[in-house]
Amino acid sequence: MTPRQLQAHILTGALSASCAPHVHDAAAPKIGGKAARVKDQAIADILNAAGTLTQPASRMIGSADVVAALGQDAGADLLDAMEALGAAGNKRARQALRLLAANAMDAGGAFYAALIAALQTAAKIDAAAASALSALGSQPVHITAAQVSIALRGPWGD
Amino acid sequence: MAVTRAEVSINMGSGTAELTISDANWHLSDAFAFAAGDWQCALQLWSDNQGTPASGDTVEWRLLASLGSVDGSAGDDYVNVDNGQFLDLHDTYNNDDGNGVVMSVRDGIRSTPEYYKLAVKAVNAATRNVKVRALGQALQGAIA
Repeated sequence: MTPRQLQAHILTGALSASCAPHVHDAAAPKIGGKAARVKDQAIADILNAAGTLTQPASRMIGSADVVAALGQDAGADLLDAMEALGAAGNKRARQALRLLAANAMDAGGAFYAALIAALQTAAKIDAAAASALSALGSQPVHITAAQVSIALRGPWGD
Repeated sequence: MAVTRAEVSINMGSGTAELTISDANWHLSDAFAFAAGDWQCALQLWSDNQGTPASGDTVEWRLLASLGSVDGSAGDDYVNVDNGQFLDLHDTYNNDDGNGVVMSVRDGIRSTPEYYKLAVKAVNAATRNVKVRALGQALQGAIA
């Protein structure tokens, strides 16, 4: 997660209201490092307690993982839909099925992310299913006070 | 002669006692010296972060010595910054003195080099300026 991404989470994300009382950005009056760390740690604690910040994590999955994530019927329907797409000439669907059959689909990889996006665009899965599939390749991010300090006050490395 | 305490003024460049750093480069003080007979020489180093500090807002201090001209050119030759004696790393985020100010004393500086310069660098000074000052002190005289 980049400092700018974390900044966006803190200032405009779902937890921004909880974080707001502790935000001390560069425009605020100067306080010492120790006082700033207390505020930064409070924000880190809020974000970590919620557990909603995630990052991609490499994890090899197969068809069974897809079924487990979506449920028996929805999972089976999706695999059938992908087989139909593959039979109609969709190379990405055919490749995805090969990887899933071999338990070699990296759920944290770019190919998997693009596959989920394409399936959602083609209305083969809805947003909830896309989220469930994405979660297979995600892990929680632990935020520190040091990261919060840079996110709020820079340098952001832009 | 009784032991006395002598202050050594240090200008942080261009004859001014205070330097405001706004980039990540090394900055050198003006030359200063302890007298040949001085002992128990010490330096006090002061850094003041001009903004609310963030992680990584550190100020590094090094001591560059010179015994005169060693390469035959005019002027005294000082040790390169990379080879300078490490003095202190002020962390204005984790180790401040209430308002982003960090001070330290480095004791036991030798008086034998003819001249010294301080080198100071603040890696995040382009984002948040840092003001720096320094002061030297030595004991003079003999213990009766």
